Amino acid sequence: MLDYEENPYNPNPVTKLFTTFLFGLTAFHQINILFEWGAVLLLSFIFYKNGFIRDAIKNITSFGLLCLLPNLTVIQSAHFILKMFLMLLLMYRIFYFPVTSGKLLVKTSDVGSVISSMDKLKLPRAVSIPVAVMFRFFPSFREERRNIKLAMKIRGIDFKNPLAYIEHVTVPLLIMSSNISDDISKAAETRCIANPIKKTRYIPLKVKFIDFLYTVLVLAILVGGLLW
Amino acid sequence: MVEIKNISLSYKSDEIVLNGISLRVEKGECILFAGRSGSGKSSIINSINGLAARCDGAIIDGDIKIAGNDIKNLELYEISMLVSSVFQNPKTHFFNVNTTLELLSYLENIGLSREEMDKRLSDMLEVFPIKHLLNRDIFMLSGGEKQILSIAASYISGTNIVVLDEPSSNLDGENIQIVSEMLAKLKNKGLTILVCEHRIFYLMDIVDRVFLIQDGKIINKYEREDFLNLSPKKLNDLNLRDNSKTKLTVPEISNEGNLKIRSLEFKFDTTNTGLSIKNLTLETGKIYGIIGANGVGKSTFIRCLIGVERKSKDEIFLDRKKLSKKDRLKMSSLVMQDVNHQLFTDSVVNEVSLGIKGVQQNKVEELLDNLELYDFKDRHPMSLSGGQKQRVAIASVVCKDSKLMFFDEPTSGMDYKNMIRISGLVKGCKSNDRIIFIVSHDIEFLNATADYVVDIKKFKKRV
Amino acid sequence: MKNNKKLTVKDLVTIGIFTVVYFVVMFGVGMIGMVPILFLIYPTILGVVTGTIIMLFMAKVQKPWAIFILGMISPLLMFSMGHTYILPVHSIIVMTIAELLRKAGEYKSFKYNMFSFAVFNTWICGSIMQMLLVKDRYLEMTVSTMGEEFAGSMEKIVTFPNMALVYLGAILGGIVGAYIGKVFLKKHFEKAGIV
Repeated sequence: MLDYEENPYNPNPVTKLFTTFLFGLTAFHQINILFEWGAVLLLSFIFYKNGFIRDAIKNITSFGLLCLLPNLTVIQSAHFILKMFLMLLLMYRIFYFPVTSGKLLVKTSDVGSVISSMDKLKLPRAVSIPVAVMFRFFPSFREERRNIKLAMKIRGIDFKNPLAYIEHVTVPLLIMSSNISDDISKAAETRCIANPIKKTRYIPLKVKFIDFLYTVLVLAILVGGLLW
Repeated sequence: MVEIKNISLSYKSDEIVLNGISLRVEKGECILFAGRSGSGKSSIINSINGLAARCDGAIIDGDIKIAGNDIKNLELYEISMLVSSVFQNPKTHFFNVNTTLELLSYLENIGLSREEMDKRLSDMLEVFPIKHLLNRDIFMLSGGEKQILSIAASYISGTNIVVLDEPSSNLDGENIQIVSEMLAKLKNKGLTILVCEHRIFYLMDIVDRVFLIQDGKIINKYEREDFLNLSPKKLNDLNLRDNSKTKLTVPEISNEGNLKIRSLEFKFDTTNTGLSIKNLTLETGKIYGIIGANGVGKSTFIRCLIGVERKSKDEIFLDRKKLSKKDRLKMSSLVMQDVNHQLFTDSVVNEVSLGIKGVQQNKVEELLDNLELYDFKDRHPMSLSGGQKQRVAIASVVCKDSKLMFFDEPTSGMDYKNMIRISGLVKGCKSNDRIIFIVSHDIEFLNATADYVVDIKKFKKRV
Repeated sequence: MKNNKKLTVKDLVTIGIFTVVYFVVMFGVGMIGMVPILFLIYPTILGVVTGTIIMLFMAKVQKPWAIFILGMISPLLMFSMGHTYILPVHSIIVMTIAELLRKAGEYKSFKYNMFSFAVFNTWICGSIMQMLLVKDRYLEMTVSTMGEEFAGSMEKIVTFPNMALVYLGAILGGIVGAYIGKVFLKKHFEKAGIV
């Protein structure tokens, strides 16, 4: 019945969050370049196996370009302003792995499994309900903003008077958000979200082989890269 | 099943919304609460499902018993295990992004096992064949599909009582028909159904009793036969819509006039469909009804006409002069379906004159007087009632005096009298150098208002 | 109403909604954060712009832990998007102080809510802090890429004492934002009846 495509190459969100944390360590401790490439290929492999082929390729090419950056001697004589912007790329280079791993987490996790993960991590209701609401509200917010912008365009409200502009966006947007907040809480209440019993999840959090493999590989890359 | 004893209900503003309501509903009955807007019929629904007291801060005196339990002693989630609710606006009243999870989230919260959930799901699919709606992004569903999903969710939850608050407000004829059939199936399964509505024709096959509500009191109770015998005139006097389905009597567009859409092409982001219009001609001084099922692209069509869809490729001429997107934007004004999007300022007067150069104060005041808004001129627009807000939006549109005027679903959820009033207002905007467009599902309203209709379905193309 | 001080489902939903609004606006203003040097005044601008959102939130939910939870979700989200653990750890400290300040004002005093927001607003400084912590590595790369002179001028700007100014800017921005929020609350939201 109703098969959620269980992809054997998609680690669960908990694994992906944990490895993102691990990758965060590379910002403070540089690891060997060969191991870095190992990490790039690993991330690209997971992207590829989850159907994000473009991200897999982009990952490899952009890391390659970032590696080339310090070798470009032309930069030395570039203009000061240009250098300032290039600085950003260097910053990106330092935080490359946590950022890419975070991208993998965001792109390959569906809402159901994220919510199951929060249960597994024993996050209190006070965190898991707001997070579930956020998934629900992001697309609504986009719709609301679009409608308000439409209304503003027709009324001829433009950025010529920035203060009035900000007021005219903020007010309806916040009022709409408050109204939707009331509606969503009613929806939540009528679905017994406040029920104190232990809840079940239709999409369980599965620990698959890939979760072990992926974690072990990331750990190996980090430890190997630091010791080499 | 449901027993209400002498309840009265008021909100913070001290205004008494319900006054001494008593009623008893037996198992398996279908009850319709009818009455004009603001009569208190929605409040009856919301006091039964517990939301009025627990979410909206209403103060309720008297007893409400559901299946023998006094709901005062129940937590909201316990009430929700007895009564499931379907709301007026399916757009905002859901909690998940995925349709299947939306159906199942109630079951997850009452702790059913996965096998049990699968069983209920396949049972539901037998009753309601909506497999095509499973496992989809709710934001990609049309309004009608969302409402179908809500009713399916109330069935899958397995409660014996379902309450519905104006469920047809945002639906087109076809979807109303589907909703009607779904409710009939629920009734056959022995569920108790309580519904409040203005549009009543689709309930006539299943309703057992009708309670007419006015000023917070039950002023009349009808058995099914007596209600069916009421004449359309009598119903309209009671502020109700017709009890049989109305036929559209407005002619199709005649393709004559001075506004020529030589071509208009637009591709939707999410599906491989689009709108493609060639040589459509409209005439100034007329009112055009834009019709078509939920999700066919009516709103997109008017966005293209207004000139805010960057991706639309169009060639549109007025009196042989080509109009760019910018030209059209300048000459357009719009009353949106949800007018909350278009109220920007802190008083009604400011709102009406916003963005218009050289408005004359006395003209604005005259306009407000006409729309019965003069007494509210210094109030914050957002603090007004739904109908008043809409009239403020209409006032601002009238004040802008545009060549192209658009109304998006202006009568959704309106009772008979208010619908006729809006019809009068729209017709009052008619002038020789202006074209008025109304997007609507409301056939009674279109019959009363439009000169021609344009069916968008004809322009839908696969690409 | 029993348990008046406990967060209800409605409050938790409100937290989720306002976090989205805050997050989107934060990213909107975030363009500034992408421009070198200007990112040092990003916290100030963020405070001015988001003051209305958070002050409205505080007016709506006058209960313990509300601001703390709202304030922790953004850094946790950014953490899962690849920021380092510095950001959430830094935020725990910031949000605890903000929560205590609200408590001192019994969750409804404007003055305390304003200070609470001013402190709240410094959480974003954590993202600049994490850059400072990788400074050595960063400078090394800057020297080899951009040359000594440029790296030297950068080193002078991004320092711990200057960070103190960034925090100060964040607090000032927060106070200004809170006052703007107060004006909007009076002018619009109270009249519209949503608080």
